[in-house]
Amino acid sequence: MKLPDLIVTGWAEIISHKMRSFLSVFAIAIGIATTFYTLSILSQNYRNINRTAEISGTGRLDSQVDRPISMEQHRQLMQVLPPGSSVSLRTEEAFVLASYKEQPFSGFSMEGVLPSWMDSAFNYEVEGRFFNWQDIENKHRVAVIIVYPREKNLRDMYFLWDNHGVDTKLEDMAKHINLLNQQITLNGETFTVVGILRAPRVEKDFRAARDQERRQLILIPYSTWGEMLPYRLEYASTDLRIVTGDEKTAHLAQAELTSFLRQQFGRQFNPNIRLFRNELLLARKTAWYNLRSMFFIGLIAMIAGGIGIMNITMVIIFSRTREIGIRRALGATRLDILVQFLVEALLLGLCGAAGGIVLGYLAVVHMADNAAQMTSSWWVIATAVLLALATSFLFALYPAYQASKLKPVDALKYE
Amino acid sequence: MVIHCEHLVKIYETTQSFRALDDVSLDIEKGDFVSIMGPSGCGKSTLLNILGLLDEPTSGEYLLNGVKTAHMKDFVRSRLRCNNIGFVFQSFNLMPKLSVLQNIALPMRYNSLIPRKEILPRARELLRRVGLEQKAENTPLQLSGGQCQRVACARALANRPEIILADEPTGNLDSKSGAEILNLLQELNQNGLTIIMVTHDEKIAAGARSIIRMKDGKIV
Repeated sequence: MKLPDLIVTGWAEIISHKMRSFLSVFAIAIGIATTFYTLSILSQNYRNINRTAEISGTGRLDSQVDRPISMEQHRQLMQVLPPGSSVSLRTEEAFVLASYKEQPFSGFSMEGVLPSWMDSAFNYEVEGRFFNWQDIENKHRVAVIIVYPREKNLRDMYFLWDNHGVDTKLEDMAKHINLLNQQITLNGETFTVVGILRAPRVEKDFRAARDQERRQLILIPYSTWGEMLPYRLEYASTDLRIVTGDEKTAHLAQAELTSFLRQQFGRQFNPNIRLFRNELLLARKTAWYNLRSMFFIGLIAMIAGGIGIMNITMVIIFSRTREIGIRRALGATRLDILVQFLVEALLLGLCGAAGGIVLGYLAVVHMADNAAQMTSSWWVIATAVLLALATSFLFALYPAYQASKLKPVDALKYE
Repeated sequence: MVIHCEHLVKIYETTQSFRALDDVSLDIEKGDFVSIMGPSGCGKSTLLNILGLLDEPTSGEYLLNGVKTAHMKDFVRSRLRCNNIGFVFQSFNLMPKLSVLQNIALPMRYNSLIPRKEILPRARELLRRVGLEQKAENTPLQLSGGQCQRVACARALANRPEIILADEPTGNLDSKSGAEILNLLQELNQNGLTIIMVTHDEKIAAGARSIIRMKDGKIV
């Protein structure tokens, strides 16, 4: 029998027993959904981890100290670090009175940063310019605004206290007005917007979760921040990010930074310094660990589905013994019978794969942490389909073989 | 000589062994129309199953077209059933879910020599030959017994076999439909087909060219 006829025959049989077929398809679909979900998440995690390493470089370390760091301290730190390193300092203020052409606006945090902010995990398109060291030195009143593209399913990024329904949101404003080279007022002082940073869409933002800044920010030079908000210097905490050329120098920088911070803030000071390479490794390890445990669940579900297929095929063969006899009398070989039942099981498997991929996709969209970043990769779909086909093939093989072994004369007598 | 049997024995091993066929020797020429008669349990259906390669004798020789069938691979037996033999059963044995046309097409789907495109036109031609072309899309359940048996005859002819084996083809039919089927078989025989028919009915058996009578697994 030729393949199109086999498919037509198998499909007709599946259609004529809707409930029976549905149950076995469902069993397979659950297994496939679990597998698809697991693989999608792993694939996405891995892609993100690799892209992060690409964008950020591995020779990087992050730390946070609960003290302000002055420009003088920054200069001293630069001298002890391995040559070629860059140090980024960053500090934040959420309560800022802002206006544009007398119109107050809110919905942002103000951060003081250095030009070295660009040296790692910088994923923006720059319109205008970013800060340079002259801005820092001369404490220029210049600002850079991050603008986000409109997201399909936007998560609420506003701070609760901003939302009184009267203020204009910076985010909305920036979408309608190009603020480049415009004057804005921050805490009573006039700033010129010298640059707009266009953020990538969230699904194209491959930076590690901690680097993915999705808050609305106005950036100003670090030195300007210190001058504008002297009262904040008492409580400010500073994010430190050091980018060295490679992993070896990162280790060196870690030791130097520790001794520098102890020298500045006392011997008891215990800085928390994270090597970015370790974070990437940890992320990879966690991804694998999650995959392993979830894959076993998927495998068990697949076996359950396979047993379902096997059971159904056994039942089908009992109820169709006479049909097998007729087909044999009309000239079907043993192989014809074997293939017929295998094709039927494979069709069920294929339906299960389709259902499972849909279920898995829904699960990914609604349950995954980084759902917005999910992109489907063809190899995940291919693996799911192959797994479904392999399962239904393997579990249908024994019943189909039994069917092909029936003697025509006995099968024909069967009532 | 289309069929040549020598000393065929068939023993069923149940609680006690039962000789269904006991030393049957038989020759059937090409173009013959033979009916096999006898009381039930005399082994006539067993003989027909062996002649149709659905079953194997315990001992003895069966030559189909001069070829020994003992120790033949299952694949070869299937091919021979497909190309050389057409079956007509007492209970029709049509596929209840397939349309009449698809039922007739079924043996051709197992015949690798027939191109796929030709299957349905040929099935339609066969259906016309048995006078049921207007029933092509009906299922067998919507047909009367006589019509079903005509479809079964058309199906038996699908691969243009040289032998038709009919196991009580009129057993489930009223006398009028039975006579129609007999006419059809006679017509096929006149066109050169070899027909072997098992029957209870003396009147039907009389329609054949020769009659073989069996009793207790032996030809008498």
